[in-house]
Parts: sequence; structure tokens; C-alpha cells
Amino acid sequence: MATWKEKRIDQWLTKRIPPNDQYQLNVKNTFILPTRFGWAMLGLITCLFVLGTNYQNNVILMFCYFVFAIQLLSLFHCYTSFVQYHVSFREFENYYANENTYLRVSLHYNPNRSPLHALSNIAIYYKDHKRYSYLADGHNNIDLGKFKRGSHSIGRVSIESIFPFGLFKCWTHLSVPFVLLVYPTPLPSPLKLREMNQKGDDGNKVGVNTSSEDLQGLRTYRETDPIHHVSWKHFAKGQGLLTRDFSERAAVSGWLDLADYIHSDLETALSELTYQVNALSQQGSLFGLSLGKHQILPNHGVDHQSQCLKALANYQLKAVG
Amino acid sequence: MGWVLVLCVCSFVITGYKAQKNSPPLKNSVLNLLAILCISIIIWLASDYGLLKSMINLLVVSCCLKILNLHHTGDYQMVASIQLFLIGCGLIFHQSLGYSIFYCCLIVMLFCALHAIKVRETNYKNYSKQTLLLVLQAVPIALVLFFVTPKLNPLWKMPVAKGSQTGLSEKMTPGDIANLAKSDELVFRAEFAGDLPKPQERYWRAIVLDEFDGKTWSISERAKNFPLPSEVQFQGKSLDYSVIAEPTSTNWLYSLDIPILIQGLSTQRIISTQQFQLQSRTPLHSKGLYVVKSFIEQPLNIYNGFENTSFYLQTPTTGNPKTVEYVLNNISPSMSTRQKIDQLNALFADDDFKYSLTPPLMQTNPIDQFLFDKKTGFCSHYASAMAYMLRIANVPARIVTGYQGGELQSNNVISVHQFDAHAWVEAWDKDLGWIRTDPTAIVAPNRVLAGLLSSLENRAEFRNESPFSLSLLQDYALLNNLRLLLAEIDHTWSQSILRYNQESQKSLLKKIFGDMSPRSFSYAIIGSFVVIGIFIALLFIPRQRENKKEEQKWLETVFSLLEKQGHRKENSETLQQFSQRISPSLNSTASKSLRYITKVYYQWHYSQKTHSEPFAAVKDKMKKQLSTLKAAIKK
Repeated sequence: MATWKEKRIDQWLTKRIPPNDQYQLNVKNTFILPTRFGWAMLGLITCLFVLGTNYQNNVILMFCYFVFAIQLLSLFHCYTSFVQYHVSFREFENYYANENTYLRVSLHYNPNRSPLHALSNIAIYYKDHKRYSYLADGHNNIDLGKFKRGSHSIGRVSIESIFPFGLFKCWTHLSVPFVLLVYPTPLPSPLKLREMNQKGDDGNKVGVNTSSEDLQGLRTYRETDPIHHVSWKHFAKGQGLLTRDFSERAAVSGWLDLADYIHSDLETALSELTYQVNALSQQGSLFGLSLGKHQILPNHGVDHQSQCLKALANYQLKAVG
Repeated sequence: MGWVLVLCVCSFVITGYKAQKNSPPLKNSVLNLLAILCISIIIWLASDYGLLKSMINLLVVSCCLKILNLHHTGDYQMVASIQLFLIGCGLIFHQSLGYSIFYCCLIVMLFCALHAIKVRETNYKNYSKQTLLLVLQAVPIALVLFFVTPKLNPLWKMPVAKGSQTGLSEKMTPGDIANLAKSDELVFRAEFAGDLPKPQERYWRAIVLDEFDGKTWSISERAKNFPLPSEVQFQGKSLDYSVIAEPTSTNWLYSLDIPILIQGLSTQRIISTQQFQLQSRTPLHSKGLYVVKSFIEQPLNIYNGFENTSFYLQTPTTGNPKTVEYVLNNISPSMSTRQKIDQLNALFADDDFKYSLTPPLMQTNPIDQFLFDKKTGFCSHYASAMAYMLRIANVPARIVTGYQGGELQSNNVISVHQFDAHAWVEAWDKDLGWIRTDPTAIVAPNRVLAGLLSSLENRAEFRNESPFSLSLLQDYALLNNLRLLLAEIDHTWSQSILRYNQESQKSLLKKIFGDMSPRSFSYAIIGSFVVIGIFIALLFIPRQRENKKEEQKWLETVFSLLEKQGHRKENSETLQQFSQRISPSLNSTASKSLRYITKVYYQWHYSQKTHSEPFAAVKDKMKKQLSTLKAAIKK
């Protein structure tokens, strides 16, 4: 039943606060209720009223009304300090499963806000991961913790503020419109590459010795080149970024096949493949990826790398978004 | 309870130490044990302290222990709400101006602490300033609510605080009142609507004592109610005054003879007794206010013929033989009551009698010792001896204790302190009723005319007993004025706090809204909500409009300047387009400065996204150009 209820709430929220990459907090997407402390304070006001009336004590009554006035003002201050903010989400970077992932949020405030509200502190809360952190003005990276490989939809994050005195809580549930893509953890392993045009042929595995370091010459820098291969000598002379080309780099090419890597379980195999995709891309090799039915034709470059990694991340998982 | 205070101090010290050292939190089990211990002590002592005080102590203890272990935001908020409630409780006991200000400070500090939770980290100055602003915004709303919300009668009876009884006691052993005379605590203040009584008429009656056991006067158990005359006629001058009495935890109130209570204006429920006293139905645990009309010229004979005075002749059968002998020798039964009184008073006219705050001890046959041996005493000695002698002389007599005199403060307020405590005698005359006779007045006339501290001798004695009393500052005019000013402010405060009740609320609303029908009352409430709404709107809406672009305003002054010269800016035009359009028609200086302004403005406008420079700095830059533009156009 709980899930049904949650679903209904979710539907209602989607209708009320449609997903977007930026939100101006306003009356439409903001909720406000007293906090537990706020309710306690209302109880206290009642107690003080009874005390003041029963003892016929004007000072206590005055005190009671004063606390009530604070509560009332706090309602308005809480709301006005909350709606001065503009929240925008930015696309996720790509992370590996062993890395902490970060939600990128920008917070801007209305420059016309009252100076009284300058201290208001706004917190972001992601309920699936029980993370509670405060947002600063400008860009924020909110640690979401580690995720398993695959595409994840973050769903809704809550943003809340209890600004003056903690009597009221203003909050909103904003949905993050972007998909978080988490690649498998890279796991070093020996390279097993099948020769071109011969994939599927079990006999033609090629083991490549990667330790050779014969300098072949210089070529222009490509994005995937490892930074320590850059010839800084030439760069200093003003000849642009050149990469020292080692003999075996260009030589390696072929297919990475999932079948070659499955020894114990699928996840390890995917991790090892991730490592190999990164290593081969760094070397600028021409390689293809074969994951059972899903095949990526040999290519090189950054786009090819991310395509391969995405395929690895989503392998046998339902892709989201 | 004293140990609770010690616990408070301890927990504050520990908390401060923990904050300094960043030491690990205390174990919960230790705190729980401590809490159980404290609660059991409080329950153990509950019967002595009464329900209210025990409850408050319980709260204080729980607060103290919680302070030792603050982890979450919730903990801080819990402590803060308990403390707010404790402030409310504190106001039950103390409502004087000083305490009210003290509690206000505490409230502001508490809200500062609450505000500091979960705000952006800044220095404490910043958020305390903001808290103060927020708190000040609440004050007008609170005031409106206070004056408009209907005041209710007590919903149910609350436990009252058991205080230690202070002031006059219901027994008087000569020498007792001398202890009171060492205190300069305020007893009550009386504010007179018209004339003040003369100094020698300021006898504030409180308690009537009628039973004597040879040493001590006390209130007899006899029923003192008798049938009243159907109609009482009061004659002569009357005085109207209101009294604000400090808490004493007794029922006795103070008034000049003969008091008629103005009902409905007092905070207490008060009855008048047939001994001309005012008595509150419940002990006075907090300040009380009542309004009285006193007929000072009316002899106390209104109950003549109704009162059985024979038991005012009671004397102990043994003791004080010398006094008995003296009275029997000097008084003959044929003398009138007045003659008897004068005859006995003549004894005190003897120069040997002295008035003193520190009389010697008189243990056996105290009246004999006093009259014929020591001849030194305080008012209670004189009153006691006089009343005893009158009874032996077959004149019904009783002792009245109360206060005599008082300090004139401003023009119409008399404040009476504990050192004004006094005792005098009333003798019964079958025509005149009860006649006041004060033997102290014969021995020390100044005591009655100008008060205890008027005589140098007494003041020296008083100084020995209570060296830090403010009343001793009377010698220094400036300090004394300051003291009187403070006293007057305090009086005005307590008067306005105590006076405001259902009646005054109604009359206030009547002044504003005319009649007091339910309809106008509901108008008043709706009106106050509207006022509060407008106030909140003022707080939250216009500020946004006001702040709207300082630069826009500045530009508008430039535009209006040009418009006067016939160069109107179209709404669709940008600043750039406008300046380009009109610059040919301006002279060279004017167009140059206009171009400069345009350039600087655009530069600022496009670098604004990085918030590099506030507009005020740019404005200074352009100011000079604006004035040259102005001058050039004028030409």
C-alpha cells in the first residue's frame, strides 16, 4: 500500500512541479509547515496563555503574544527567504562505480532580497542516500555517495530551509532531469584482444606485450593520449602539443570480447573490460567491443570510448532515460 | 531550592569547559542516574516546597542535565523551549520592572541562540543584530494582540507558590517588630487621588491583636463577627487611594481607618472585617492592587452597641505585679475612659523613657521590667504595656499592628517600608468607639511625625543593623533623587501592569469603538487582524520594490534632466540609441559627457554579472560627468 501511496504522491508532484533543469522557487513549488519545534512552540504558547490567564498575569500574557508574533513573522520570513532562491541542476559527469558521485547544483539568490534574509541557509537532502548538506551561493557539488554501475535516475531531491529560529520548514521536491551514468569499476587485467575480422574465432587470440617502450616518433596530440607522453620539450619551443609515439601503440588493434573475460562472474569481467577500454583509448588504438549481441564497431577517440563505457555500464540492465 | 542553583552553576561550568576542550560527550547512563537522583530529591522535598515550585525545580534540573549532553538541533530547541517556559514561570513570581527587563534580555538571548542554529556561519555580532531586528518586528504585533485579545477569567485554579511569610506576623512579642525595623524592603505603595493624609494620621492598619498571655499578643480564636447595624453613615473627609502591595504570603492588607473597598478594581478578592481591616481571601503571593476610600474623620464607633467588648478586658491572671499595683493605685473606677488614658499616658511623659531599635532583653515579667526598670523599648514595648495597663484599669483595649508613616515619593505616592512597622493601642469608649492612642508618640514624637530614620540616633542604629540599605542615602541629595526616581518608575510600571484587566480593556475599546456591543467587539478583533496584516505587508512587500535597481533610478534622473530640454526618451529606445539620437542636437561638452556616461554605464552593466563592482562606486565616477552635462545643457 505504501508504494501505491508513494506513486500517487509522485504523480501529483510531477504534475505540480514538472521536471526541469532549473527552478525558481515560488508559491507553486514550495511547501511550508511548522517543524516539530514549531509545533512545540505552539504548545508552549498555549501553556503560557493558560498560565497568564489563570494567574491573571499581564506580563506572562504579553510574553505569550510576543512568542506568537514571532511565530507568525517567522512563517513569512521563512517563506520569503526561501523563494528568493533560484536552483539549477547541471548534467552529471560520468563516474566509475568506485567513485563518489556528485550532483552539480547552482544556487542563485534574488539580488533584491532583504538583508535580513542574507543568513538563510538552504539544505539539500537526498532521501535515498540520507545525505544532508548545505548549499552555498554559486556552484555546489553535492556528494551522493557511490552508485552501482548503470544508468540511474536520481528522481527528486528535497531542498529545505528552517531559516529564522527553526520554527517553520520550507521545502520543495525538485526532480533532477539528468541521468547519472556510472561505469563499472576499472580492474587491471591482461589484455585479450581478438584480431580484426577474426572475432568469434577461438583460436586466434592475440596476447600483446605492453611493456615495450620503443620510441617511434612524434605525432600531433590527440585527446586520448596520456599526458606523460606529451613532449614538453617541443611544447616549450612553441611547436604545439606533440605526443611521443611508441611503437606498439599504433600496432594494437582488434576486438574486445566479453566472452574472453568471463572467468568468475559478469561484474568482474565488465570491470576488466572497462579497464581495457580506457587503456586502449589512451593508447589511441583502434578497437571494437563485443558484448554478446551488442557490438560496437572498431573505432578510436573520446566518443568511441564513452560509447563503449556506456554499453558496459548498461550491460544487461534496463537503461533509464 | 539551593542545590538546584548549585547544579545549574555546575552544568554551566562543565558545558563551558567542554566547549573549550572539545571533550567527548558524557555517557547517557551517568546522566540518567543523576536525573533519577535529582527527581527523587525533588519528590522527597515536594511537600515542603509545594506543587508549583517542585514542578519548576524539576524543569530547571532537566534543563541543566540536558545542557550537558547536546547533540542534535532538536536538543538545542528542546532546551530553548523549556527555558522559554521557565521564563514564563519566573514571571509568576516577579513582575517588577527590573525583572521584566532581565527576562526580556534572556528572551532575546534565547532567540539569538535559536537563530544561530543552521544559519550561514558568520560572527555572532551579525546574527545577534538580525535577531534583534526580527524580535523588534514582533513587538508591535504582540502589543496589538495584547490589547485586543479578550481577557478571560481564570480557567481553573492553579497551584500557588508557597512563599516564606514576610512582614508583620500574627503574634507580637515586644521586640519582634524591632527586627522588621532593620529591613528596608518595600511593603506597599499608596497612590492618592486627592489629598494626602497628614504625617501623624498615617496609621496603616493591618492586624488586630486581642489576646495577651503576659508576654505575647496574639489573635484570639473567638469569633469576632457580630450582627451589623442595618445602615452605616460615614461622615467627614475621605481619601481615595490605590495600594500596590508587595507579596507577603499572608492575607493581611493595609489601609487607613475606616477603609471602604472599591470593589471590582482590585486584583485580589478582598473582604473587610469588623475590626476595620482589609483581608485578602487568598494569601498574597504576587503583587496585589486594590482601591480604597478611607473616611479618616469618622470615629470608629459605627458598631457601637453591636460589638461585645467584654473580652477585650482579658489579662493573664498572674505576673507583672508592679504594673498591676501601679494601675490600681493611680486609676479610680470613677474616671472616664479619656481620663484613664491620659493618666496612664502621663507615665510615659517621664524623661527616663527612651525609644530604641535595640532594647535590652526582658524575660520575666516583661512589662514590669520595661516600665520600672529598663525604660527603653521599641513601639511594641510601649503598645504592649499601655494595652495591658488599660485592661487592668477596666478599659477594653487591643493592639493594632501595621505601619506608620511612609516616605513621600513624588506628589501623591507614599511608599511604606518594613522599617515603618509600628504597633499602637486602641481603647474602647462607649461613645467614641475605638480610640487610637499611641504611647510611642509621647516618647518619640519624631517617630510618628517624620519616620524612623528622622532621628539621628535611630539612623545610627539602623546603619549598624543594615549597612547597605539604600535608604541611608538620604543624606546625599543627588543619590536620593535617583533612588526616588527609580522607585517612581517601578511604581508606574507595576501600577500599569496590575491595573490592566477586563474592565480597563473594555473601557479602552470603548474609547476607540464607542459602545461595547458584541458587534463592535468583533469589529475590534477583525480590525486588529487587518492592522497586523498591513504591518506584515509593510514588512515584506515594499522592500522589494524599494530595492529595485538603484541604477535605474539614477538613469531616470539623467533622462528627466534631458527631458526638460525637450529630449524625450522613447520607451522602446535603449540608452545607447537615445544618446546617439540626441547627441547631434546637444552642444559638444554635453554630448561628450553623455557619451561618457553611456559608455561607463554599459561597461558596468555588462560586467555586473560577475558582481565585480557595486553601482555606488560607478555612480561616483559618473557624478562629475553628470554635473558637467547639467551645466552644459543649462547654457
